[in-house]
Amino acid sequence: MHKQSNFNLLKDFLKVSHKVKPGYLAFMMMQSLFVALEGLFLVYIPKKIMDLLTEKQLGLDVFGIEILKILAIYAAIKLLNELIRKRSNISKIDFTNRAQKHISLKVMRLDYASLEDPEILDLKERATLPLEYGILHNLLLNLQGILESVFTILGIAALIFSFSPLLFCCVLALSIVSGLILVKAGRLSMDFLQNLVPINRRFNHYVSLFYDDSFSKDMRLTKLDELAYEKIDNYEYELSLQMEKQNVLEGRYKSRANIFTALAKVLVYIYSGLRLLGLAGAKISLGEFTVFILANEKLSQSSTAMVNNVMGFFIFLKQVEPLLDFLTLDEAKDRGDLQAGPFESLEFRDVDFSYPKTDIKVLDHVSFKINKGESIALVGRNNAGKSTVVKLISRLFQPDSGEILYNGVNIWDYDYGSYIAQLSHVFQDFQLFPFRIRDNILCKNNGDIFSEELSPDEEAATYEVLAKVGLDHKVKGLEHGLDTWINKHINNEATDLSGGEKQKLAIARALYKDSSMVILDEPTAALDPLAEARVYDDFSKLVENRTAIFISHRMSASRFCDRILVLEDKRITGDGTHEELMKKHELYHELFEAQAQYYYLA
Amino acid sequence: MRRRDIVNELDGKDYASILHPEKSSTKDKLQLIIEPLKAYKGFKSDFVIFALTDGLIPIVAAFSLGILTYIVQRILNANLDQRRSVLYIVGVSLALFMSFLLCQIISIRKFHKNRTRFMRLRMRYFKAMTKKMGQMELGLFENAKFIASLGDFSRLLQSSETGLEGIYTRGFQMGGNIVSTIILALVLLFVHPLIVPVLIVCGFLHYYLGKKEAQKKKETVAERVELAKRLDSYQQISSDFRYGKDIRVFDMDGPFETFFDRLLGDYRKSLNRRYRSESLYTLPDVVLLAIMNIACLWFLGQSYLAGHISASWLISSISVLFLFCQQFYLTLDHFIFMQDEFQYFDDFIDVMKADIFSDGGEDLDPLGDHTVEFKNVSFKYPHSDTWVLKNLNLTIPDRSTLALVGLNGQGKTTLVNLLTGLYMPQKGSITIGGVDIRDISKKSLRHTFAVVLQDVNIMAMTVGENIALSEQYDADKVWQVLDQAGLKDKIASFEKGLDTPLLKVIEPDGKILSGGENQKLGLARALYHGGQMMVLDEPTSALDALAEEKIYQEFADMTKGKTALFISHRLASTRFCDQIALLQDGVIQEVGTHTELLAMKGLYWEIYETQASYYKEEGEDHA
Repeated sequence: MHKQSNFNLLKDFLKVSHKVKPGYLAFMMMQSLFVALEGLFLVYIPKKIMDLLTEKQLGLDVFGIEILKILAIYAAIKLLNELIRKRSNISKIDFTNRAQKHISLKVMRLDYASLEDPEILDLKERATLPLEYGILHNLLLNLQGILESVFTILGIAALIFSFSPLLFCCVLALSIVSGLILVKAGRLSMDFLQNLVPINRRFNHYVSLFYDDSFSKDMRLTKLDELAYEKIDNYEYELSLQMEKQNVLEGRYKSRANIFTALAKVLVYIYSGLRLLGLAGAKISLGEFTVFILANEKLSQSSTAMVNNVMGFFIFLKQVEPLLDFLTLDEAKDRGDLQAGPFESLEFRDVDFSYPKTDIKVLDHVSFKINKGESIALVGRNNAGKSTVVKLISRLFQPDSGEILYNGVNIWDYDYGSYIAQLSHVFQDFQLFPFRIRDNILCKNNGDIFSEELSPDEEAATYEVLAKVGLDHKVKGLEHGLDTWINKHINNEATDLSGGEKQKLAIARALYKDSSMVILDEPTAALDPLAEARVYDDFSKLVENRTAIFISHRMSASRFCDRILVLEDKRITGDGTHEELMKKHELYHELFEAQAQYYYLA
Repeated sequence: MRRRDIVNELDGKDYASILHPEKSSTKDKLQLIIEPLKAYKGFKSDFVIFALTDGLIPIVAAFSLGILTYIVQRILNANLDQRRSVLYIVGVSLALFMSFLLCQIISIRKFHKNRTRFMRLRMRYFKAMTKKMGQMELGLFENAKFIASLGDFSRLLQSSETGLEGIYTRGFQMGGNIVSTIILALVLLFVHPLIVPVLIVCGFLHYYLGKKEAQKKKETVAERVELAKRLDSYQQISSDFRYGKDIRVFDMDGPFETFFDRLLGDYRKSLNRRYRSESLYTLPDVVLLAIMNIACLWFLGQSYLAGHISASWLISSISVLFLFCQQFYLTLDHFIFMQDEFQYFDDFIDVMKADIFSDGGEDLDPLGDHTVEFKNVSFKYPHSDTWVLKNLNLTIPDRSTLALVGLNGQGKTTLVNLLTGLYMPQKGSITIGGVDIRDISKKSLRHTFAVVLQDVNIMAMTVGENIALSEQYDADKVWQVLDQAGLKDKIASFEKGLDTPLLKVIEPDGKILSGGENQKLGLARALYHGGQMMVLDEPTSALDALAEEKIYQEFADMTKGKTALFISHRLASTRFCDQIALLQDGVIQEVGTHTELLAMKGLYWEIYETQASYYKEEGEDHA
């Protein structure tokens, strides 16, 4: 990944914030303005008291009424600030949650090809880290701190400047020097933290193995626990060494910066002391003296806070970079606008394909044609490119050269929605949607499906398709029937479907879809032999005259298809019926025999 | 000593009352905090020095104004000339500057030095806790209810800002605040006797309101924890790339977004409820603060007007007043924070004390008899009423291979869990070479079994480490097992060979293997491990027919001289085993050689015939 300049990162951050929660930054500005106001008021109160008591020589009761007034105003500002602060805490949580949502939306709207790009996967993993570790939250806090100091400094600057422009410049110069030292320290710690990120990541990764369900057996059956612990131990040692260095360094720079802040303070003391004496300018009152010194104090506090916040902001911004990069990735664009009609034919014409960022050809001048109503078995060894063919048909990838024609037109010229509506799929690694059973079958994309009622027609049709795959009894037996949720993590009352049941549901989902072509990639891998046999026997009934492509490692599956295509060495080397291929195709014969031999000797 | 069956002992009991019988005492917690500090030499003096220097900073700041005005007044009274006046002012200012700087530099040094120590201490407990998780009985680890009843045990050690490290840091800083508070209080007592009592009363009222507010906040926490869990799972699922294909071809991004908005909306509603309840306390708190300030300033005015204090004292007193409030509130805040964080000790201490790992038993003789016998074994998982295995009997003779076949969901993997000692049966016994599995130590079981699980897990480590499961390994032996598993060529094609990192989580240039290659790696891992017994749970499900065939042919070689259990749902492919057993309805329904089983014309025969029918007619030509 390219490294971005801070400026570009900031631009991205503002852009992304606006998208994630519009108006949030404006709210934060308002909040900072009020916080600054409260701080300035605190500088003003002592002056007012000194004026009331030493200049005006008021009586105690009048003085009491005066401070009552002042503090009433102060209390009003304070109350407002407290309420805003609590609101703002909520907004920050909501902001982080919404950022999570935008990650998910981005995943759904990227070009599918990006999802198979390990770099993008890695980027996504890194993009979620700032959310998990609260870095985004800290970033927002820093931003707020910056705004607060800016408003405070502006307010105070106006105050001191009117008092003595010369002194203002001196104080400013000293603040800048101490600021620069802090900036240098900040840079160093930024580099440090940046170096810590990979160690931290490793440490966290190996720790997570101990809590990961999928590793629980490895942890207990093998030496993995010892190995992972050793790694944790080593990384922890390295982490604490680095932290120690960092702490010493940070302390040193803070001390140095303090020299300059203190020096600024001393200058102010001397100058205002002289003014109080009537030297170096007009004599000032005790009240003015107070406000002057307190204002300077506040100025140096605010500038230190600002430098700290700015540094913190950029440190965190760097860590949020993956999130920003991910959320600003380009989304897929729909290229065509033709409406696709029912299936007539599908043709691969000289299709070349290699996965993006690799130079290994997966398909080399592949050509074949499928006609309406045919059922095709696609056969080949592991990694021969069978699933790739499916992905190309499904517009998940684009061929490097050559064309895929659907009803004689390049598939990329169709409107995506109308084209994909003609296909239904059971992928080898299919996933069910984490919603209810009925949502998984109906697959409706419009409206708020979670508040809609199921119409009787839909219910009947849903049960019909469930009956076809032999899942209707199971679903009817569930307390909530079709409204049963299928993921326990999303809904406590969800049912646990077995692997076989999930696969049946996936088949039902593909069959329910009103498509004219079915693509089945290893659709029976999770079924037991008897259930598998049922699918094979009912194959033609299941696909119902639709054109079908069937992929399976079980060579037996190719027996009930009209035609078999053999993928070998990136090309189609066999095209014919089972009998034909057994006679003349070496690989096909070999594959079939490897499994069939077990059944001869019986 | 026999290993205890903690999982079954706990089943059906109220976990929370067992795990958290009583709250651990404050003494226990303090001990946990203070004990490790004793190991650090000079910690006590660091703490005292920090408290004194850090505590003095606000004092110096508060008195600077007063001292300056005092000096100015003295100069005016003494009618000094201009040069000497300037010298006086500069001198005093510089003295203030030096004392201020000194305090700051020392306190910063001490603080930063000890921060690293606090982190180390947290990590020490963190590592111990992580280790304990890895040791916890699988039956407890996989039991969601049990895990939930452990509570928020890791919260104490998760962050450097909160929990243990937060307590250390805040406790350290509190020293300085307390010193300031005490000195400032003494000064205020001198100014007006009523100021400090008013401040303390208001301070405690503020503390009380803060507590109340925190309580209110907590009332809605439970529902948000629940919502956050759902949100978190949903976030993971909806951003999981594996869903990418299905979401695209079924055009389902709409519902995914709708559902996300629902979850976010629910969460926001809950947060708003929190906001409403916590805001109730804002107004009284602010009013309290205002009254406190008014009262104190009024007292100050009284003192000044009565001539008790001079103008320069008045200036300092105002600063002292503000700084006292600040320091006192900071101390209270630290205290509230520590009290809040203290509760997280309970779950942590309970988990660290909990008896969730049983060991004991003796070691098996690696050269001895390894006959496996299941005698009347019945088993069900915790919280379940379904018996997965019912009175099951099975024998695997020493140094022979048995294939376990059966339909999905019949308990084949459960049987592996029992055989390898991950779970213990409620009834019956399992013996290896005549020794009950409960009498065999975990270490010995681990040595004895080489297991290839159904899903082979790849770790983000190098190829060599993935196979040897150790940072130091015998490279020749690793190559040899890679060869046996049919993965040698692939690994040899990598530039870095065995040092090639796998997965991209940690190393961006890490390699990702295909499903079939993962299985081969799992096999190589088991072969490297060795051991007298091999268990292979569907080790070829992701391989194509030819690759599968190759593994089968080498199977005899791999299991030579070992007792092996081979699990598959492909019947025909198990004939290279000495015996085949069919698991159905929780018992071994049929057992024998392939020919014997076919002759029985039972379920095995039925399944075999269904599968064979697709190959048959062709097969007859060739046979």
